[in-house]
Amino acid sequence: MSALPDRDRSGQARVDEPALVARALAGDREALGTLVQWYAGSVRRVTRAILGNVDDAEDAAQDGVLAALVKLDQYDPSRPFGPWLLRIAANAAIDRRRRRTVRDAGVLGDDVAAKGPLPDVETERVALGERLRAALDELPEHYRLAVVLFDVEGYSHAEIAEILAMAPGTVRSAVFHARRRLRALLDDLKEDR
Amino acid sequence: MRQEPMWSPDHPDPALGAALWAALSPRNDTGAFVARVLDRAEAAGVGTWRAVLGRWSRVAIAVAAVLAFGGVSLAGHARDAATSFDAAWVTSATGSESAVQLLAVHRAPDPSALFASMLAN
Repeated sequence: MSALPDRDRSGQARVDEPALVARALAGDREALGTLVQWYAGSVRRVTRAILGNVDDAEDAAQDGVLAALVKLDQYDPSRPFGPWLLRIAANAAIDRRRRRTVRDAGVLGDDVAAKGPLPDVETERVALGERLRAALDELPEHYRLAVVLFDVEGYSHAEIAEILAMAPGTVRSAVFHARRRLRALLDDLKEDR
Repeated sequence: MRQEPMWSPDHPDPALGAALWAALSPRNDTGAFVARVLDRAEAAGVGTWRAVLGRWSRVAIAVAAVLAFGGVSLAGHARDAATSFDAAWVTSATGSESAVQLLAVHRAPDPSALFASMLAN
C-alpha cells in the first residue's frame, strides 16, 4: 500500500497532462476517461476527508470532477492539473458539507456493512480507519485538508496553498497541528496493543 | 510523562500518510466511478461535437468583434484624412482658413467661426 498518489507524479506525467487535456477538449472520450482515472482516488479521498460519510463523499467527488470537466476549457495548461482539479472538487465537498442541515452520524462504520465476522487483522484495520476518520472529522477543515493533501496525496505546501487558497505558511502550520493530533491517536492505539 | 516527538511539517510522514490513505481510500471500484462521471459528462455535453463547435464559435465571435472594431477604427482614420484633404481644398479655394470650420466639419458650425469668417471677408 502506498501513500503516494494513484498516478505517477514524475516530470514525464506532468508533460503528458496538457496533451491529454487538449485531446479531452477535442472530444476524445478515452483521454477524458484517463484524466478522470488518474485523479479519481485523490478526489475521492479528499471529499471523504471533508465529508466523512462515504455516500456524500462519492456524490461530491462525482459533482466535483464533473464541474471540472464542464469548465475544462478554462484550465491553464501551463499549470499542473491536479491542484486545479482538487480545488474544484474540494469546494464542491465543502459546499455540500455546509448545506448539510443534520450532522450525519454515519462517519463511523459506514464501510462495514453486515458482512459477518472479519479476520482479526482486517478488524483491526477497519477499527483504525474508523478512529482515524473520526479524529479527522474533529479537526478544523483546513487542518484536515492540509494533512491529507500533504501526507496522503503528496502535494507540496505551495500546491496545497493554491488548492485551499491560503498562504503556504498557514498550510505548514496546519499540517503540523493536524499531525500532532492524529499522531497522538496512532500512538495511543499502538500502546493499547 | 510521555515526551511528544516533533515531526517536521516540511517532510512527509509516511506512516501517518499510509494510515490515512487506507482510512480514506474508496472501494476498489474506480472503473465504475469513471464510467459514471463520463456518462454524466456526456449528458452535460462535455467533449461532444456541440461543445467543440460552441467553443470554436465563441472564438470566432471574439475574432469578428476585434476585426469589426479594427474596421471601425480604420474607417475613422480614413474619414479624418478626408477631412484634412477637404480642409486643404477649402482653404485653397476660398483663401480663408476660417471657412474650413464652416464647410469641412460634419456638425453645425460654431457661431464664433461664422463671425470670424464674416470679419475676414
